[in-house]
Amino acid sequence: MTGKRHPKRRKTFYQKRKICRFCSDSTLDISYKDFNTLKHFVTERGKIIPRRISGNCAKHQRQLTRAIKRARVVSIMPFSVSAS
Amino acid sequence: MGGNTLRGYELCLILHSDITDEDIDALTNSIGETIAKQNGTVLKVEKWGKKNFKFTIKKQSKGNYCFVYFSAPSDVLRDIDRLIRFNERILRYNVVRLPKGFTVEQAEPVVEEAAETVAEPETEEAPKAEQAEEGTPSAEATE
Ligand SMILES: [Zn+2]
Repeated sequence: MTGKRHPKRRKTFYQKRKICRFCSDSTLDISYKDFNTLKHFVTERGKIIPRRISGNCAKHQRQLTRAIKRARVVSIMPFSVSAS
Repeated sequence: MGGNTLRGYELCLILHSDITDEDIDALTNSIGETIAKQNGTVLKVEKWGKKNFKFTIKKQSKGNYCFVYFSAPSDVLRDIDRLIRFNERILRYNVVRLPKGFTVEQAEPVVEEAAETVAEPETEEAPKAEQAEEGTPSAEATE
């Protein structure tokens, strides 16, 4: 043990969006056909971003998840995107 | 199950990209007839035209999207399935329940311009389209 201690490593936090986008903007609909809305809620790899990070409320996250999964069936959203 | 209760459905058809507009109309008309036979009604037909897939379907990288909104007893789904199943130019189809209190105004096409991302990421072949996932809350609770 060299007395030298590492400075406490700061955990990198994702910026948490505290408000649910769909609650704050009632004109925003969740539809499985709306790629341009859905694309904001998946990662580059195509995975659904958890609510803890996106800040969505439970109700809208549920609707969103369903919409994304439906969109995948009809190839509007990808199941996965391989790294390039 | 079955019964005569009218329910709202949305049929998504993914057709071969070579299909002509007249063929699409002929197809949606025959679907409409099938629906009418069971006392259902077509609420709206929405044609998107050609769109790139996010992954290949039946070795195709693009297809012609068409949506048929209708209200009908659930028995119609079987008839539609029979009508569509062996049509080779239909690459895939999928039926979803419309939310309660759905009106035709809500069926307005989603603004969908920049969606033409031509970049085609290689993705795994999707599982075969399942029919009619209805509006039951999924057990997909996040945390
Ligand atoms: Zn919300």
